[in-house]
Amino acid sequence: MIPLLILALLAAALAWVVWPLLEAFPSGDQPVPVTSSGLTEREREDEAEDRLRGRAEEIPLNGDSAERR
Amino acid sequence: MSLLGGFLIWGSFFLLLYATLISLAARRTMQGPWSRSACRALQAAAAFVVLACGLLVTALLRCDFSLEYVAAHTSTTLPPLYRATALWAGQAGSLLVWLSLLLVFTAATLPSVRRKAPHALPGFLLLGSTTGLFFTLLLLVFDSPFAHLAQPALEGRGMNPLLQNPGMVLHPPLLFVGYVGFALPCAWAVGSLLSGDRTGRWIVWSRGWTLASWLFLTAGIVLGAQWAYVELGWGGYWAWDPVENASLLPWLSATAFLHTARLQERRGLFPVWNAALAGISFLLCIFGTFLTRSGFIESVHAFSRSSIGYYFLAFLGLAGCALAILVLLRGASPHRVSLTGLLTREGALATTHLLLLGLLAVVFLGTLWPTLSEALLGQKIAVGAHFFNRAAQPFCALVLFLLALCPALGWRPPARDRRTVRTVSLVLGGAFLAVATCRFLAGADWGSAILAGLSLTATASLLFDLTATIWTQTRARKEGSPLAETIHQNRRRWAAHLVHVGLALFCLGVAGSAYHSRTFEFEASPGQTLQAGPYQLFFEGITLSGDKEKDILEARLRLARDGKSLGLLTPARHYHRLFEQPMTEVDFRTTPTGDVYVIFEPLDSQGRSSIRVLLNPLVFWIWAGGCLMALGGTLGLFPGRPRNPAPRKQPSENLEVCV
Repeated sequence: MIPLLILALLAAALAWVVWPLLEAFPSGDQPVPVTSSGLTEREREDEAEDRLRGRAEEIPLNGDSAERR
Repeated sequence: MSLLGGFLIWGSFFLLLYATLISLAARRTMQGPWSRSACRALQAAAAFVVLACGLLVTALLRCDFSLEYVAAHTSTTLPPLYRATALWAGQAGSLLVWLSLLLVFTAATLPSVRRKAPHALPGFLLLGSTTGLFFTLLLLVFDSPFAHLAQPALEGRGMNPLLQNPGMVLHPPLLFVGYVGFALPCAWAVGSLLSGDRTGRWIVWSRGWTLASWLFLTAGIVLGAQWAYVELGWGGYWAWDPVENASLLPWLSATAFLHTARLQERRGLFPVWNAALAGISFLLCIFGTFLTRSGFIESVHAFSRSSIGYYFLAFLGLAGCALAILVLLRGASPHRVSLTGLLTREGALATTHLLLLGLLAVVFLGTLWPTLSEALLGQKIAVGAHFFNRAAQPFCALVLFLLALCPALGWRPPARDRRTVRTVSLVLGGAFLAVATCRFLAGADWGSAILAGLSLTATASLLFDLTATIWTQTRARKEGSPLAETIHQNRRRWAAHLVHVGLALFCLGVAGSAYHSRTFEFEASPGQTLQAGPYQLFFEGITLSGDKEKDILEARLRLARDGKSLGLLTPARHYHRLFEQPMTEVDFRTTPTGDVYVIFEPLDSQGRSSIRVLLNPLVFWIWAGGCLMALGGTLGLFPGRPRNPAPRKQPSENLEVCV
């Protein structure tokens, strides 16, 4: 009885503490948020980085982001 | 039971370790899921420790003598109430209570921190979790309340009869709440300073906790004094014992902090010093716990000498250094503000805080003097109650003088108008008259005459100020219920005045009883009449009774004054079956002018007895003053209604003012 209670308490505590971290992972069903420019956050960051390196023109605009644009 | 208890302590240890690591790793950018996870770890640790407390209480109530702690502190003959209070009668149990209060308070405040100042969360969490980690470590390494006996005991050793008093039910938990509560203002300060927040708003956010902790500590100290007076049977209430002093030290620093916090709240004065005072109050609470548990300094209250003191010293050293570095590096405010003047309310508050800290230094050095003198001079020198009584007198007298003067002072420098000069002259004249009356009419010595006179002047001045406020405001207000409205609008002022009147009356009681107590010792047989000052005590006889725990020998003394009977006093001697040493149960008659306090000790089987009669003047005012202080503190805790209910223009500055 006591070992079962201990296991239950342990599981409850772990679930309670870890849940906010698990919740933060985006699941496959959820749409990736798109910024006002029509790009995803990650795409915008990548483009900004490229622009900083002066390579923005070298990259062809294709794929999803180009279509959206 | 032992397995489950051990798991709960270990579980809380790992949860606190996790919370500490997260708050250390993500000091600046502790946002989102990690923040929630760390907060939840601390909340889960709090739940585990509360469960552990519940488990231990169950074991104590059920007399589960397979646990070493239960066998050492209870017995089957002990009433259930005292069985439950055995939770804090021993070292391991009281450490568990300390820990559970700390974690519950911290966990309960976390949502408020996240809402009001999310930037302060890492530091706040860091202080709560590291302190909790330290106490959990003590329970795991040093003294576990769930250690089990190889062979369960048949009967427990029971509780020390001195602890079997209603005071025991309330006094230790009140002190614990007071001690632990001071961790929260310190955590607010650490959180704000670590995050680089120099606005000083933490002083407003933490004020409710500071006042509540101060209130509980005050109630705990006064109740402890009352317990000593009723139960210990030596005729006094405060012996300047190191452990008693250990509770007074954080009270003094917290009282000083409350005064300077008011100045910072009002005009941003002393931001660095306030952060330091919050830290000092918290460290002094840990220091008090160290003094009680280490046995470093001999005291009637202390647990036996043990190596746990070294752990406390290490924690105190580390925490002290960390707090000092933090305050020095991050505490400075970008704005430099200075006092408006010495003869203002600001000046009076600042001076009061200095006097309280001066008294703190004297009590601290006096308490540690046996250890310091042994280390420095090679000879252990203890300072007694006489030293403390004399040393505390000038500080108390000056604080009382400021209390009397303060209502006459404004927040801005005086304009030297006739009204201010008249009020200050009135206070000075009243003080002079009151001191002279106490000295020459009541026959007090100069020291206690000054204390008593200034106490009376302060009480009169504060009551006059309150009455004048009510009078002017009720006259100005024509509708509604004027008095209730006036009290509600001036709640903080009322609370402060009540606390200060309580303190003045408390000092009046101390001035009377500490310096003018008279003792009469008799060896008497039944049938004799004893003369103690103006009182006569007729020794009627001795009765023998008992119950399953003890035998009781009770003396019957008829008290009279000028031939008029004042009642029957029945001091007794209790002979407990589980304890060799007999216990003295005193009896006394209390009036506002003084107590007649009787201690009885049988000398032979023919009824010849030793009877000590103490005449303690004005003790009543100590308890009355303590009650008023508690009442004022409670009034100050209630949330007030804003004076102007209209919405403010800047919602970001609409900070919740608890008190």
